[in-house]
Amino acid sequence: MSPARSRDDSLAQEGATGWGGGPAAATAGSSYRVEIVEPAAFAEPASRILQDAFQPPCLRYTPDYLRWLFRFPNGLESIGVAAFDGAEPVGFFAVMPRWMRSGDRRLAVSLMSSLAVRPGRGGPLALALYSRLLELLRELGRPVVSYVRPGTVAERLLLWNFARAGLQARPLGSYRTYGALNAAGPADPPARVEEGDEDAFLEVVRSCRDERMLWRDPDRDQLRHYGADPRGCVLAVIRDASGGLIGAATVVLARVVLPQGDELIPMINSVHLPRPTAEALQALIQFARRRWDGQATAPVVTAPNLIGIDPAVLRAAGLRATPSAFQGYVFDPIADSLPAALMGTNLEVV
Amino acid sequence: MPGAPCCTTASNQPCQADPRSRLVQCFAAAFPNLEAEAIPRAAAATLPEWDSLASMTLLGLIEEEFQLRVPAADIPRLTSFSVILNYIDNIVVRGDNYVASPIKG
Repeated sequence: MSPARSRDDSLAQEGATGWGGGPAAATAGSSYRVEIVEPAAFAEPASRILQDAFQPPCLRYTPDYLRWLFRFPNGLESIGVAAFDGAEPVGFFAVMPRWMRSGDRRLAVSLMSSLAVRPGRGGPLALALYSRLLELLRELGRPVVSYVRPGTVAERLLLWNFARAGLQARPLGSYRTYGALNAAGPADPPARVEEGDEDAFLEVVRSCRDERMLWRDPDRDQLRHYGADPRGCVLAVIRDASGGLIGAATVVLARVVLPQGDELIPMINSVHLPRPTAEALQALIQFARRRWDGQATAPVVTAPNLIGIDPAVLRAAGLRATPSAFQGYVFDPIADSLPAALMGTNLEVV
Repeated sequence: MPGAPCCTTASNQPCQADPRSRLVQCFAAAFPNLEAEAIPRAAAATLPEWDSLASMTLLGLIEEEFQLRVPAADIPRLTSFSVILNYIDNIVVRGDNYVASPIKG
């Protein structure tokens, strides 16, 4: 018997914090088992669970991509919990550590992503995974950042479970995905992009000190890890007409699952633009398109996280809002450890 | 929480109702479309309405009603009325308060 569609199925099978948990399909009276797992070693079953749970459009979570995500060389370990029905893996929640900067302060945060249960697996499964994972996160004491589709079951479960664990949520901005079809720009652009300059990239990162933002703060090893992204990823630094550094970002060839099949789409992530301009964004879009020319299967360049940039600047750069959006939250186990003015982060939406 | 289900827990008076009838009330509030006679047979595996949101509501009601906090390790097992009732029956009553004890098996 195929399980009936539930609120879980209809509302939450999408996004960074996705969902597939409908009514349980386990044998009556049976129960689940929740275990701590090493996320990279669990990449194969995690990939199957994530792809079964997420509805298009969503990223393609291949085992290679997950292993890469969970093995960032930052001296901190990813954490995962998995649920089993007998020997069958039926749910997987994970967090990945990331180094961030707020003003002059460098801090480790946990990025909560890759949350999914198999479709048709409801009941207490999600609560069990959340409870176990949040026990571990409370022990760590780091702030937790999560992106979730607003208005979904996933968002309600996220907020309820964190509140139950005594971790209060702070909204961390709304993240609209933007897309650019045409960014022809002038023949002699006032800004240009160079690829792969680690020193320049780190210089831009260090110049981002606005305390209203939680800035991604990678070191050199982590920058090199970006280059090992199995999807294809390059470092991009943006210079103005006089050669001065004005920005940086990573540019990925993302594999996106769409109803008609997978598309390879250039995606701009982790944008560091201390003083955003349309010219800088145009240069970035043009670079992304050129860099993956011949490999990309869609004519669009996407950017899931351009928070804090004036919509007029985005329009002038040729970027248009898509229907896809996430709500960011930060949960801080230590009261008031983050600036009160914090309103967003440039951490990639994964 | 939809509908205050059971005995009041706001007062300092010990609840006089038995755990079974109080748990029935919790289920009735979490699953308003479920017939009363079907509640004792309710199981996540066979009740389509028992999804993640319903589990959230039910757990909140049970914790409030019985003044307990279900540890993370016990949550995966709470997949049917009978299992939950057994779980609550394994909780020792001390004075006005229930103190959780580990679930057996």
